[in-house]
Amino acid sequence: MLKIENITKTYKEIVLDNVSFYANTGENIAILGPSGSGKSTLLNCITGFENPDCGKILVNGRNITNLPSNNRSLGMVFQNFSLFPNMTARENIAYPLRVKGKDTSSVLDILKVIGMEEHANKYPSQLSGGQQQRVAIARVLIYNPDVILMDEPLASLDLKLRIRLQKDIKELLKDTTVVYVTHDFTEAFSMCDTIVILNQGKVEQIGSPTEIINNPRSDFVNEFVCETWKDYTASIFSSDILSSSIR
Amino acid sequence: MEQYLPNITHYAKNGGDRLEAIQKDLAREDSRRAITYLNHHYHKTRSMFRKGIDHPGWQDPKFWAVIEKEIKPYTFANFQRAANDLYLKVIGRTYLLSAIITIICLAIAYPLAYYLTKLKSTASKIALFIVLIPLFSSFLSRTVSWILLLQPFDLMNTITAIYIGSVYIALPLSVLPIYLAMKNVDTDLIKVSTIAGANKLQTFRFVYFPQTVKGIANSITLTFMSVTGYYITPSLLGGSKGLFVTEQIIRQVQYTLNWGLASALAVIMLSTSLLLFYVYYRINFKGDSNA
Repeated sequence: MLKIENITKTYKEIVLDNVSFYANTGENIAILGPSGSGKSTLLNCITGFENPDCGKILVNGRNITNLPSNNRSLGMVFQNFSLFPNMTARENIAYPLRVKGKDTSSVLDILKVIGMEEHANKYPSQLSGGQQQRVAIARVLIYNPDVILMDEPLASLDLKLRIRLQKDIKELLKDTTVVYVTHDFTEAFSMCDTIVILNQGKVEQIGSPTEIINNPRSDFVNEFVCETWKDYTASIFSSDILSSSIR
Repeated sequence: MEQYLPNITHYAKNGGDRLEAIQKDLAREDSRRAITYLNHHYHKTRSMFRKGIDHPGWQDPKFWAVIEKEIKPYTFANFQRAANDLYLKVIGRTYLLSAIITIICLAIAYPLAYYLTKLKSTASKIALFIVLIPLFSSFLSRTVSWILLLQPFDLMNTITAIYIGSVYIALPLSVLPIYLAMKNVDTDLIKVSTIAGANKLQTFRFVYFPQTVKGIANSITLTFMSVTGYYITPSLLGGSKGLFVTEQIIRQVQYTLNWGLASALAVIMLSTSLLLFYVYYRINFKGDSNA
């Protein structure tokens, strides 16, 4: 379980203003907001790369607010996959176990789960975007962290692949608490149980995707949801997904 | 042309005793042609043969250098001479000293470049400018400045002086490639490594350092190749001990006029540099189809 309590962070101006929410074990929660809404700062506070001015971050009841980043039992998947370019897919996945001095034999099992056994000895530059993303997810799953953070993990992929990987990710991470940071409502809608909408560092609304669509609490939420749906529909029409399904 | 020249050189060397014979032979067509040819390379040749042994041109080493060049146009003899123990030792010593200077530069450059990348934008620019300042002044003035600085410590004409001067001059070349490689390190990879549980040393060893290897290779190549060609610094700070092969090359060119040997030494140095550049190319563009 992840619990964020009254997190505030100020640089020259307030970036996060008394942000609070929680995600139960196994729950997928999305932090949604436009650029500059404080999503990345919140993520940095959770991972420990930024220290909040006040507030608490709890993982399974353990206060991790002041713990070093490597001791928080978190996992993270980045937008650009961030695989180590000097390591093969197998070595990338084994990395978290290797640095902790643990046995790496489970790497083969997880390669099977993500359907990448044949590509185990390939370097990231030899893998497609979708394959790289699977390796990045496997690298997190291998050490079974308490919470997995995903920073726009599908943003750099094309729509077709994105839709396919959304299903895969949901399946792979079904038993883990996942915090999904994105500015794309449709992605959050299809992958998460709860959505937290941030605007200028403040929580605008927390609720299930349908609740947010049906009962937006502010003009901002309403406009934000409509805008992203509009973009999503436009991209569906401009892609070959629709034409191939019509055929 | 060279078939006529031995005859002329023979005349030239013994001209004082056999002036009549020379003048007689000079009437021959082929000898005249040979002299006309030589006159292109050494413009006093014609008058030397006309006036005989009293002409000062016979004493000029440049004339004999022309003669030697013309009668031996292509030969490996100079490479054989360059391959003797004396020059091989000098070449070996040049590489050894250059390698030591490169290692010292690398040992200073890596942490310095790392520090520069960690500074805030303005401070980083200022610090980088300070590192690059030596490049804005002339090689000679930089070396002469070190004479003034080292004299009070009795370090002039020592190997230490060569190390200090060379490291100072080569350091910007060492820092720049490493700095650029470090600037391009993907910070997300560092974050991934840290969140995955790696401590700072592990992150440095497995993630950060491998991403800077190309910068290190560039730095070593640039520094080593330029240091092997240093002449001013070792001769001014080291007291013309002939430690570097460049000093030997200059001696052959300026004092003994043995240009063939000088060229052979230069070609050996150039070949080694090209070999090193090839290694650098392989490291940098291994598997890169766009290279």
